[in-house]
Amino acid sequence: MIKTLKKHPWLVLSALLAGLFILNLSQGSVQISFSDWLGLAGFSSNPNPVISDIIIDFRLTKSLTCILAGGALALGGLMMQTLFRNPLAGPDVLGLSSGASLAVALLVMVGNPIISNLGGSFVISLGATLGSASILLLILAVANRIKDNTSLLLIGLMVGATTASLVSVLQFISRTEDQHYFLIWTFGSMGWLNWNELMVLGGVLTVGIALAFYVSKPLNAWLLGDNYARSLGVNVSSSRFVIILATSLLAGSVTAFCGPIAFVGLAVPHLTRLLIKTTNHRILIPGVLVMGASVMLFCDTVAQLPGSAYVLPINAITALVGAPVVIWVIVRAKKVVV
Amino acid sequence: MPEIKHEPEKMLLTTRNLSIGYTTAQPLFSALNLSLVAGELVCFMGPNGIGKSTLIKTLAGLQQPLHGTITIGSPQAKTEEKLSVVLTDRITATNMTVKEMVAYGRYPYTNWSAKLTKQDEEAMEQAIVLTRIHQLVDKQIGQLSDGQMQMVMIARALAQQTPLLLLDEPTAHLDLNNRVEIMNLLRELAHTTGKGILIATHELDLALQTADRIWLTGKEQNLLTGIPEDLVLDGSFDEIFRFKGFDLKTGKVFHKPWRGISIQVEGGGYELLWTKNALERNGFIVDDHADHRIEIISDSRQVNWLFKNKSYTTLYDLLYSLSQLT
Repeated sequence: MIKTLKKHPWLVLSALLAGLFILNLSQGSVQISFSDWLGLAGFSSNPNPVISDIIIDFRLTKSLTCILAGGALALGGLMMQTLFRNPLAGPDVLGLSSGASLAVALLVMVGNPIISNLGGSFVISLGATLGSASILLLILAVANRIKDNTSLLLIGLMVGATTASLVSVLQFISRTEDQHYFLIWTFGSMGWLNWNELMVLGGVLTVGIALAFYVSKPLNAWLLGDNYARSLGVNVSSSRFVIILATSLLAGSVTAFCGPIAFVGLAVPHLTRLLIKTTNHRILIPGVLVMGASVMLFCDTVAQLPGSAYVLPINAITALVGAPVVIWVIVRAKKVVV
Repeated sequence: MPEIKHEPEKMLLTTRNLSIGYTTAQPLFSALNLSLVAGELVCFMGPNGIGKSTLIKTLAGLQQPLHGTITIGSPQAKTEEKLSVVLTDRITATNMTVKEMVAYGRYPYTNWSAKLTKQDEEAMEQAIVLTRIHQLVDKQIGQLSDGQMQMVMIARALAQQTPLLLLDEPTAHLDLNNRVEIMNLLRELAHTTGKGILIATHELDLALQTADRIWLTGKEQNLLTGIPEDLVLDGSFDEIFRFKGFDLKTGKVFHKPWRGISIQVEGGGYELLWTKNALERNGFIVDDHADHRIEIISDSRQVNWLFKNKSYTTLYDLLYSLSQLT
């Protein structure tokens, strides 16, 4: 297994993704029999309409959300680790998800009547998008003035801390049921999206991924630090702008639609670099997309608690499953590099 | 005295009235009028912390000058095609292969996807041959020794195929053997490929023996330029470096003759050189008109020292005997 993995990492990764996709589709609170699956695939004269609704409108959207969100967060993490040359960076280091959290907290705990009038999740998504977008603009404005990446990283962390404390204050002064609603949002879920929302998410992520590919050469150059990057003719300020923009689109939109998903963005780039031994982002970008999608599918499948009707919060599972994996990886590899 | 006219040479880099540093109130260097010609190895020397790295970065276009102009080649050409750099910045991506690192040198010439053409591969191969790192190409840079890593960084700069090469302390933290190898390689490159090479260094011994020209940091934010020997003989080096126990004109560490005993040594070649070294290091004066006399008797197989009709096979034994003198 390990040998095949080293020889044909792409084959193994695609097989892994396909297998986890099927596994994820087959799990859920309703048991679906083999004949129902046949019916859905068109091999039966009278397919069960309820079952096909469950599969297409609930499970398929959820599985596809896993693939999109996992890949996007992992790619965001990869870009931040490269930009800051820091293995601890993730897509949320610039405070984007805290921006989204603050916006959602404001909506839920202060503007509650609006939500009940406009009907829920779409407003939440819109608010979260606006929240992470305003943090993005703030970061870009700062990035324009501060040329040093480490300072930018620290400012991102400070912005994150500030918004997190504002959220705490809001929680402290708000009603218990609103707190509960907000808490549910922070748990995250892959199952909140309908087909229309999935299309919107897919569209935004496509732009983010295309931008990431577009800056793959500057990303490679960033690995040498900004002096060397500039000496090779890389326009560091414009490429940094694109890198931050792409990460914000990826991480911001996922947070908006699925809640603040922790850990995947930090861990997946490390797992990928362990499998695919390269520093070339032209190879790493598709690598983290597939790996991130697989990890997210796996976590979501575990969250379904196979064979039961309970669903655990995805955010708890990503960390619960992932943290030991990352520790194992670090201990085995002895050293982690960006 | 008539002024000697030199042949006009191909200027690669000139500065006019250049001031560098971080604040105009306190420039590190000011009013620099420098030039660097093709095929020349220039060592830029000065004590640590005087601003050598800042000048290298400013010349490389990585930092804005405070004042004045820098002209490198034709103004139409892009900087990255005119000069390449080897800096002291640490590379953290240790899982990168040597080949990937050398390929960075082709970045100014590749398209957005960084795809290497046959021409790029050839340039990389040439750089790998020149730096003799063939057996390293598939290794990860984290596995390299400091000396090998420096060679790889030089190969990367060579793959960039620029007429000008700027290096900041390329021999820092290396052992003598690696330092000599790198300096010899750079000199050879300057002379055979016609590149202009500027090395910022604080290592006197090697620079004096390899540089075609020296830029020496002066006292008033200026630079003294000249060939190494001229700057040694006119005392510029002594003034700037303020040597503590190093005699630049003999190239040796100064030893105090604390024993007050002078010894005459008969002999020649390396044996004489190292015998003198041992005696002076141990506080004796080596003099032709002395109270004591040592004779070196050497054939192709062994060396003997004759002192007071007694023969010694090692300097260690001889020194013990001499230390009994009062």
